[in-house]
Amino acid sequence: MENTETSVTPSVDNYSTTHISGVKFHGQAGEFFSIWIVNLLLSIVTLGIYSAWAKVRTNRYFYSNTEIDGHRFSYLGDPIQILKGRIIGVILFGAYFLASAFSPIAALVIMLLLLAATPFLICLSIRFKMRMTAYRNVRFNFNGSYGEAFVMFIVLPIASIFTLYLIMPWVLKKMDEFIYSNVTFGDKKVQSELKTGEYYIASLGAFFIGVVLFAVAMFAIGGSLAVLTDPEAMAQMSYSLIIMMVVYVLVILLASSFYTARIRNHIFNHSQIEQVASFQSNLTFGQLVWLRLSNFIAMVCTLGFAMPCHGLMCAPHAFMLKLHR
Amino acid sequence: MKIQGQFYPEGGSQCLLAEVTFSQSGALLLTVTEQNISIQLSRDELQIKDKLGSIPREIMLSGQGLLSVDSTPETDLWLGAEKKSNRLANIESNRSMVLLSLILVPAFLYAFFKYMIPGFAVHFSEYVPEYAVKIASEHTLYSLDKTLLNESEVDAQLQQTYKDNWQDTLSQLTLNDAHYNLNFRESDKMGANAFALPDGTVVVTDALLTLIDNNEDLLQAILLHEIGHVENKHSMRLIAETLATSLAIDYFFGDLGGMIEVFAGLSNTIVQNQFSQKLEWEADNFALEQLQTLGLDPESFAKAMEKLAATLPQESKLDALMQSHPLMKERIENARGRK
Repeated sequence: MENTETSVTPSVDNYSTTHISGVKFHGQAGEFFSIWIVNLLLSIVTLGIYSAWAKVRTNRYFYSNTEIDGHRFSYLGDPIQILKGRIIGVILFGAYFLASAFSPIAALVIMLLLLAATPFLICLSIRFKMRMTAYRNVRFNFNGSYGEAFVMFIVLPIASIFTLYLIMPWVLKKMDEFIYSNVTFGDKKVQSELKTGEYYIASLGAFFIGVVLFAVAMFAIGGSLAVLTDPEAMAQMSYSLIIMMVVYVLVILLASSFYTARIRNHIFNHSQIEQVASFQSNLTFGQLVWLRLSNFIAMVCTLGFAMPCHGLMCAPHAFMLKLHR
Repeated sequence: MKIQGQFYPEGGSQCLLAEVTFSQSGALLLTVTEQNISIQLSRDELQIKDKLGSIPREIMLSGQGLLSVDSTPETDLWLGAEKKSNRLANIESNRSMVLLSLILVPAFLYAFFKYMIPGFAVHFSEYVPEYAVKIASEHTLYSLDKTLLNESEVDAQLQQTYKDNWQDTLSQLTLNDAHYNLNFRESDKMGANAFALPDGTVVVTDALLTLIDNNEDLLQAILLHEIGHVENKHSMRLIAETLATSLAIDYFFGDLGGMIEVFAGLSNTIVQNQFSQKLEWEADNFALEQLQTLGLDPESFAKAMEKLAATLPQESKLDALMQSHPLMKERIENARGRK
């Protein structure tokens, strides 16, 4: 993680020129673990009701421990509001689940309704997340319209099916553009100029990594199975099933990391908040794979007790801001 | 007490370095000398955000802006004096509380999934109205007929004989008033299989009849297992268990995101397989009891299981976690143990 190159003097207003700042994260694994485990206990004994308060505390911990240029972020979420949202969520999910369990036909109808509501839900969730985030006592916001979201998240993906997904990378670009260029910080807009070519490179790269690795893995597993054809070795079947699952997770991990690292860098390097800041990100494929892999291994080895550390390790990496003043 | 803090006046992204004085009498005085700002407020007028770990303390100055100060013992003491804003943080950082949580979290999770959810599921299944069960069964059979099932190729006369004998068996048992209609279907995709819908409709595939060489004793044993699911309302219980498990895992662990999803998905599968296996045991034991009531040999159940097991790949101990049915070997042993 990079430290600020400027002094930590909080009063940014004195700067007259552009300067660069990194992201500092102050969270500590031990401290967060004890917060997490106590909140988890409270959530369980209250049958999930306290989970709304736990969520606010978790988010506040991450936001307030993230520092850029001498200032921390703030999370403004209200537990009661989150609890209400969760109750509505339980009712909707329960209704959907029960209806679909009782009738596959009802499930189909509800799925279509849900699909139509997806853009609405995406907008609501991004808006909520942005409005609950503040930096220097200024709130973020999101102004994406439902109509536009409908085009981005429903019409274009369906249209891409008819092009055999050939325009999918462009659709992914349009989605990201929709999300980022509708974010505001106070009265300043985020401007992002994303390039379609970059999305094609990232998508095709991820696709080929996935296909090639999967083919190699299948070939290797198939070869080892062919050797073990006698019936006793068939008992190894379920073990090879486990191996296949692990291979599957690894392939997905590698392919998605390639995409994520590239696109994340591209989005940040081509976005800015007008007159406030531009971003620089140079997260490498290797860094991201290592980050995700070590998280996963830690989680499996500790039977999930390393779970809270996951968030801590995912705190901003290889990220800088150029602040204009 | 005098400290330095960051003051963000309302309505802008300006940040000023402020001098803050907390007085014994409960007043806060904030001054920014260069800007000629001086704000004095009593503790009741402040909106103090709860202490959390060692993050900076945020104080809303009743419409005038936000003040952020480092979290030090002295500051926390002053800020927590009246409104108990330190209470939760004190619990969270208390060593014995953390230790207690480390023990109680796994224990409660175990009790929650092992006893509370199945208990809730039994109650739920009793409240499901008759017509909902009927609709569920009809819709399910309809969609299966459209997709996986074809008309049976078994001779109509033979089908009728099976049905008559089945009705004869049923009349000798004391059961709920469900109508256990026996149906036959052909299906390549399902192979040798039998299932019961929650309204009592029982479906047997042609391949299953072939597998058990049309032996009626074995067929009866299998049918009794299937109606064991119906008698104990297993479909409804499994629905409730699946729903409750997904919600619980999501709300207890959902905040962390990312690779956790793989982990949560895996635990969800394992937990639900345990529920399903428990229901299979109940249905097995129901079938074995009914066979005894009818004066039939439980061996026919064991034989039916052996025939099925022969069509499946050999099981390893790991399968006990990964599949919805108990291990075949154990089911056969259980049936033989009844004699």
